[in-house]
Formats: sequence, C-alpha cells, structure tokens
Amino acid sequence: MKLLDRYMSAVAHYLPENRRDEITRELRSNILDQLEHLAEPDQEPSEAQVAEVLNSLGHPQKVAYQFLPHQQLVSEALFPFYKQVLGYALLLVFLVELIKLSVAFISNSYVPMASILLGYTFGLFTGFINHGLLAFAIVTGIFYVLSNPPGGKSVLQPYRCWRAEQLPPIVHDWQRIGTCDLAGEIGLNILVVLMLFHQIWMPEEQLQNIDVTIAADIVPWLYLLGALTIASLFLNVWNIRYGYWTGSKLIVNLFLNGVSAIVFIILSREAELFLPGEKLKQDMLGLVDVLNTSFKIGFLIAALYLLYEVGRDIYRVTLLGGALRSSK
Amino acid sequence: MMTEDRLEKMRLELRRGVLVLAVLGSLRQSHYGYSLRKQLQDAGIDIDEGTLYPLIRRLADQGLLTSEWRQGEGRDRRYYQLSQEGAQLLETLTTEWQTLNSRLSTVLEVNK
Repeated sequence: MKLLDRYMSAVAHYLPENRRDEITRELRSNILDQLEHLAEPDQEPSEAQVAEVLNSLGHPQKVAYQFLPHQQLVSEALFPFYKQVLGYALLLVFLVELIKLSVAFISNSYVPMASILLGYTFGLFTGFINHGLLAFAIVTGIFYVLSNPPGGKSVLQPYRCWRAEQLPPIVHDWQRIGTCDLAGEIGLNILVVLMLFHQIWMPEEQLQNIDVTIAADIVPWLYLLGALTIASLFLNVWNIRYGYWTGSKLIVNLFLNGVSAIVFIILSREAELFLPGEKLKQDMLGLVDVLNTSFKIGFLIAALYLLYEVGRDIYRVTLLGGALRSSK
Repeated sequence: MMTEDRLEKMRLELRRGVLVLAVLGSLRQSHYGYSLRKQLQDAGIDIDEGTLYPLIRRLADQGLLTSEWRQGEGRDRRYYQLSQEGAQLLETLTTEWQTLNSRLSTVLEVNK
C-alpha cells in the first residue's frame, strides 16, 4: 500500500490546505473499496493491482483539480469582452509609447538621422513589449477576479444592457474601423502635432540647439496643417467610441484630407521650407538642401495619398447615399 | 469523415448533463462512492471513477446531497443521499429530460 500512500500524498499536494484532509480521506476510502473488489478474498491487493487502479484514476494533479470548483483565467462568457478591453489597453500603451518617443525623437538634434530612426524604432518596440506585457497582466488579472468572483456570482455582465436598436447602422464591411487602423491614425496625428508645435513643449535651451529654422513663408500653412491634424485627432478619438464610418463622418474626413492635401502640395512647391540656423557650421549647409528636398518629396507623397483617400471617401459617400435611398 | 477525437468530445458533451441526472436519481437511496459506481454500471451507465467521485463532491458542495461518514466492514465510508433541495431539483430535471427526450425522439424520427 506504499504506492497508495505516495499517490494520496501527491494528490494532497495539489489541494488547498483547508480541503486536503476531507478530500484525501474520501478518495482513499473510494480507492480501497475498488481494490477490495479487485483482490482475492481475504488477501491484500498486490502492488500491480494498486498501480492499475491509480493509473486508471489519472495524474494526481488532474484528480485534485476535478475535486475543486472549476476555475478559468477568463470565463467563456467574458472572453470576447476581455479581448476588446485588452485591445484598447494595448492601443493605449502604444500611443503613450509613441508620444514618449516622439518627444525624445524631436528633441534629439545632434544624433545622425539614421541612428535616431533606428533607436526610435527599437525604443518603440521594447517600450511597447515591456509596458504591453504589464497591461496584459493587469487586464488578465482583473478578468481573472471577475471570472472567479468570491461569492460565485458574476458582477460584470457586459451584454446585459444590449439592445438591438442600438446596433450601429453598418451596411458595408469597410464601415467598421479596425483598432489597428485607428491606433495608426491617432499615433500619426499625435506625432504630427508634436512636430508642428514643438516650440510650445520643447525647453528653451533645446530650441536654441536646433540648427535649422523654418522659413517664415510656410509658418501660416503649418498652423493650418496643425489645426487640421487636431481636428482629425478629435475625429479619431470619437471613432474609438463609435468605430464605424457614417456619411457625415466621411464628409468631415474627406474635407480634412482634401484641405490637408492642398496644403501639402503648396508646401511641396515652396522654394525653401527650412533655412540654416545662425550656429550651423559652413560644411553642414548642404544638409539643409537635403532636408528641404526630402520634406518636399515627403509632402508630395503625403498629398497623393490623401488625394487617394479623398477619392475613396467620395466613392464611399455615394455608396452610403445609394444604400440610404434604396432603404426608403 | 468524423475523427475519433471529435466523436469522443461530442459523446462526452452529450453525456455530461445526463450523468448528473443519473447520479441524482441513484442517490434517492444512500450510497458511498464505489457502491454508486457499481449501481450505475449495473444499470448500463459506465462512468469512470475520476469523473464520478469529484462529481458527487461538487453536487454535495452545491447542497444537492447530504453526506455522513459511517463505519462499515472495518473502514470509514462517506455515504451520500439526496437532500431536500436535490430531490426538488431531480423532480424538475426529470420532467425536463422526459420532455426533451420525447421531442428529440420525434425530431430524430421525422428526419430519418
């Protein structure tokens, strides 16, 4: 019976202390009953018979677990909601990391561009992994408690207030705005706003260290671009709550993209976007030309992409208009 | 073609709820773990001990069974029997099962 003692000890190891004695006592009694029927009358069961019964019962951890109330990391009922919350938490982490690194990126004027970009990408990646894991652990921990409430009665019922009448008016798949697309849009908005308004948040000494100045002619256009980006940011934040395109939202987006495209085209045709600063060394003057050319090409590409989006949104508005007419 | 694994999974799902009914039905009379298993086996319901013993404990934890330790044949055994709450539940579940079974039989017969 040594084998049985070892088995019971192994099962006890996986049981909570307050239930250990009660469960092992009962399990032992059941196993002894089984062995009694296997063994010859008036004889002790052999070790082989004991082993056979124990093997058929299963691994001690599995047996112990079956005696306890079933626990899940996240219950099946809460899992879709958990995934959604986790998605938003990771989106938030990504945006915070992007803002932190954008500030570091824009503040860093002495390091070569290639190194900054490399460090920026790596920093974004490691920051997102580190804080993303923390967010994952916190959200999962909260849902573990909600899935296994102390009283056994679930507190969170995310779908209780749901009504069919509240469903979003979506007729085309493209109307749904994906979380990743939204994260990308908001991230880009924040990056552009931080770059355009760097004079507001950057310390004075850092501003003095910047080797190039922005040409006075383009400043009003940059302010207009900043205003458009902030409006776009508000629209995207609104889309977190109402993540689908409607006709009116498409028209607003179309207007913002259209005007931004025009501003980008105007900027790309300007003679000079950046001028050398007073402290810039003579042998570095060529870099300003490179910077001007790079930004002009970048603005032109951005304008073309925005014009593509304008065309796409016009088409989508007509599709939604058609769907509205046919439903009347 | 249905794989063995999938068939086994569906078979287990189908049996899971019915086993509770079978255990509650058998425990109108008091039984200890092994005797209950024997009675179910004799009735043609084979249930492995790794499933049965924890199931009885869970039903007892839910207040559907009462239990007491009794001395017999030189050894302690825990005997279980339906509680009042368990008896009421059994009555409701039995009606439910009979209704479901009769409707299901009709469906399976009609679509044969």
